[in-house]
Amino acid sequence: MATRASGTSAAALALLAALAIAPAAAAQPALPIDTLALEMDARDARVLFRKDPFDKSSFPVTLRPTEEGSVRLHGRIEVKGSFTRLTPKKSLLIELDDGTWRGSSRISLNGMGTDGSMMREWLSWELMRALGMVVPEARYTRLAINGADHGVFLRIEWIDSGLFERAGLGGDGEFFHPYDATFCGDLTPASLERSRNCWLKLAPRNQDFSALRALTEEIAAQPVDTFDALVDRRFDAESVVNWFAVNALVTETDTYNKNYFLYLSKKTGKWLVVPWDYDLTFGRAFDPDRESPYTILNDHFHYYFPVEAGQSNPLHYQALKNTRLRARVLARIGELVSGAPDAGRPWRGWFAPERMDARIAALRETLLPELRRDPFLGHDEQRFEDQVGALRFYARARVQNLKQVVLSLGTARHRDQGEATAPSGRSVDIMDSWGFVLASVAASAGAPVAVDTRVVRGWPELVPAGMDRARCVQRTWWVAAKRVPAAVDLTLTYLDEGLLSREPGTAVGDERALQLHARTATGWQPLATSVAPLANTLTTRGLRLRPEPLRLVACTPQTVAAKP
Amino acid sequence: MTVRSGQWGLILLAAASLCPAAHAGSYMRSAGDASYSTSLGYSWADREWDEQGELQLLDCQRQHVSNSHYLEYGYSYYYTLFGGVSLSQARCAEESNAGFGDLRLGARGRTNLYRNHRTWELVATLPTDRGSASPRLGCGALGLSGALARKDELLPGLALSSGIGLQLWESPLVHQVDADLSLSGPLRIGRLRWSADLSGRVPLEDGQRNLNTGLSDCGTSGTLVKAGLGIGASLSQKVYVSCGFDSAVWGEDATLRQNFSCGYTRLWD
Repeated sequence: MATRASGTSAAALALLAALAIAPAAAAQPALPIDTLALEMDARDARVLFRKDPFDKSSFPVTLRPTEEGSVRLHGRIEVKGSFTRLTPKKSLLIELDDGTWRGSSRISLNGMGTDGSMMREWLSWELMRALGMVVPEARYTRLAINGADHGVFLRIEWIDSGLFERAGLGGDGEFFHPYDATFCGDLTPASLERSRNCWLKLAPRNQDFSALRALTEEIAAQPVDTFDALVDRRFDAESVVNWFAVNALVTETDTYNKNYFLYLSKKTGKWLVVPWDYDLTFGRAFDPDRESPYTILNDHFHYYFPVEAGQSNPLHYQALKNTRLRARVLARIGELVSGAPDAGRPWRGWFAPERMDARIAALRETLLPELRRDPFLGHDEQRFEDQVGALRFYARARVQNLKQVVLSLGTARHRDQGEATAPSGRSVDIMDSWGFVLASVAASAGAPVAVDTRVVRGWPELVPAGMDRARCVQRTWWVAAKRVPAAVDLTLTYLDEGLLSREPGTAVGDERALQLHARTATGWQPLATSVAPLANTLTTRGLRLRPEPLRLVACTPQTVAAKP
Repeated sequence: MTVRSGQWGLILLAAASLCPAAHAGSYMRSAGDASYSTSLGYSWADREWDEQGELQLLDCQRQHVSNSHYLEYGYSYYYTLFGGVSLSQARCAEESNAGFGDLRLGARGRTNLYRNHRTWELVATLPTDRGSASPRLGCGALGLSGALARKDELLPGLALSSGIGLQLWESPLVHQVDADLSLSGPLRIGRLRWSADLSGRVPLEDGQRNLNTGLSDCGTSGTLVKAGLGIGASLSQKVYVSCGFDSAVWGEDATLRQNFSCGYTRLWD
């Protein structure tokens, strides 16, 4: 009898193997990691990571030279950020008094405490850099304090006039940022009401918001039909189109009222958007039904948000209602998810599933040894593997979703039902018309395998004898090989969207214990199952499919009390 | 964002401090942060408890009007410095006196290195006018106090602050032990917060009775319990206003004083 798989990372590795649709498109270059060595008072070093999260004290720090010709630099170090202050691995800001390190006197280190994969921000910035956007440099940086390893951080360039000068926009423009604590920098005229405190002016340091006020008033007054003209006239339009395209791809919904910068270049007379804060992306989302901090630190997963998703913002809303701008955004998404780079569009295919998969796999190879040395995150390698697995699944499912429901490239015609043919030795996703990945099928070498899948949502009508339905996933899968019997590796999906929208039953508990059961002529057969609890997938290998649909359910084992 | 609850005790009490050793603060400022509070207060009393705890009429109604000024500065993560002084006018029948009250200077530190609201405090009281005639504007004697304070969240939206301290006085004032308990939380109406306060002091030695230290009652040999209510609101992230009322509720050899004050606090960070 087959049994459930066990082992700490078996599930995630099985998922990765099941999702390996093609060899990596190209070998990924080794990812360089900088090293930053700090010296500080031992007591300050202890306090820095353990103190009251919202204390803003800074402490004296010295940068130890780590390379030829470098000198000791002095400055102060403090915890930065807002929500990440609540996580053990704080984000840090070092301000140097007497010099620069890697060209900057401000060193901003993101602890990535909310992203168990440690990849979401880096992937987002690299994607934007590929698009030619004006964005800060991002480098993984190993941090040692008084010789003790503190793990790898993502060093993100401090955004100031230097970034804009480097982009040829001049450094003397007006620079604004929504004040993220008030959640109202949404580009409405009301956001400029002084009492609401929605905006910060970062440069020049004054309280003249007239240029921004004029912009918001223009946005409010511009009809949808001609909104593209306003964007072309007043903005660096590519920065707007790319911002929306990237946010749609990575599902950044936490941005339009707080997480971005606006720069009015004196040189061009146009506004530039610089995006910000990409940790709550690639399948992760805010769950308003949970108590803080689990509104953010939760295991729910999405890949099917509409491109309009996000906090209310008239620039975003009007742009996507304008036919021409929407077409430009969708065309940019289309370029990113398929095709090969060319001279004019080096970003083409950057987000294609096979390239993303190779990219994430390479990142995993680089970051796993770093994670093992990380005093904050290293104790939970399983979580890292789960997150990486979810990220890889997201990169693939999001593209399939967009092709199906946004880019008009899908072929599914029915809700909760789909079919696909897996080429020999490859895998294929089975989509439904709403853009959900119902299943993935990997065919072994031999003939291609055509597979039909149907999902019935809700508590399973039939479950194995003695099984409590509350211990099952609220869906039943019907899977069939369309023409001839075939053995396949089958990955089935379920949904865990939020506290109030979960398919795992209330008694499931740890989703890793879920096991697939197939209803055969001789009764229910348990199947060896690998569970990816973040990606919400169940994989079984070597399953024999026939033209007659096979009924499958997923449940956790029943606990039977021993009789006296 | 509104003010973190930790700062409220300080804001409310800074507006009401007349007695030097009334309350220790449990809030540690971040390094470099500063606050300034000013308040207008009016205190009055026309009765006192005698040595047997019986209420007796005073010879005159005592009144005290003050404008207090109070500064705090986060010197480092480990130390917060503070100081305050008030401009006061005290009146008793036809007698009246006006000028500066005592000057208070102090430092606060952490009893727990890693969390806020666990503090010790040392405060020096420096009289600006030792020899002034009754009615007094301050205590008129050197004082040094040490205290411990903490604040705990009992439930979401309900915090308990507590403190205990030893106040030493230059003779002829007598040394005292002070203690206070306070509940506070949001009112769930706009940005309003409330606080309810119970505090008391007992002398550590028998001293000269009927010391005339005015309404502050500092350094007398009496025992006193006070209760108070406060309400405050954040006008922005940096500006807060508050009002409070407190009254002596029981005592022996102490004045039945009542006090009403309103204050304004500005933060810099």
